[in-house]
Amino acid sequence: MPRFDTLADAWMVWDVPAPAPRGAVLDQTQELDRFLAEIERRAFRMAQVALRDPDDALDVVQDAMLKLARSYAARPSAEWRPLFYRILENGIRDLQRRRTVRKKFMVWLPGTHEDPDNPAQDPLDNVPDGAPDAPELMMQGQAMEQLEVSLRALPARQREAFMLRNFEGLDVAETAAAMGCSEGSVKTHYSRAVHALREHLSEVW
Amino acid sequence: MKEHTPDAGQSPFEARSRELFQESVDGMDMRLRSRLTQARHAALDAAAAAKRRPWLLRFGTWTRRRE
Repeated sequence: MPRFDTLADAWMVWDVPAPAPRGAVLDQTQELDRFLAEIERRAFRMAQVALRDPDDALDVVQDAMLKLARSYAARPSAEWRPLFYRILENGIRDLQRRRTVRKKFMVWLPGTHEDPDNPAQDPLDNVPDGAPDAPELMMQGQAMEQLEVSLRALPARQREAFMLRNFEGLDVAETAAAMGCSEGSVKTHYSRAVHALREHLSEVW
Repeated sequence: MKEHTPDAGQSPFEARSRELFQESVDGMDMRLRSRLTQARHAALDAAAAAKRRPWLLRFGTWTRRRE
């Protein structure tokens, strides 16, 4: 008959997670709440830059929060940030793919004559982005709009690397974990993104 | 938990980009902030509800590999 020093050891034999003490679960929920509260606005803006539509951005961020809370809350809190951004980037990419398919499908419907290859006819260009338009913020707002336009012109991986490294402040290893690639690739994508953005924005900033 | 701190080795261009982004985050309107807070609470509630389900009904309980 095996002997177990603790209840947790006994549970491991049955391959079933030992129930966490109630206090520990509460602490974990509070810590997750603090973590999500700290990153939610930056994550939303990053999703908004990529997707242009605030409602889509909000959906993607909420979905990422839900998946993190459901599947990864028990992981150490140090792992949450790269995990969250990996989920978020996957959500953004999925939505962009669905949009591409929808656009191709819409061309065949009667009454829709947009050219999907012409970005000037993209209906999302007309979606208001909710940016503040007070006169004192106009200069800053314009500079950010220019940055957003230049970011959207970048290849997706370069944009991801730039936003995660520069906007979110992830280090190279965390960015690699979030993007699912090597640290060398992150450095390359980031360097190319900075170079391209500097070139785009040097005349207007 | 890691704090959101600027990278010391940034170029002026990178610092400016980061500053602009942070200003746009700080200037987010209250309606959006409120919707984000609601989304966070909904996510945490859904995760808590999933945890409260009887353990026999949790798919994967018996098959999950321990790390």
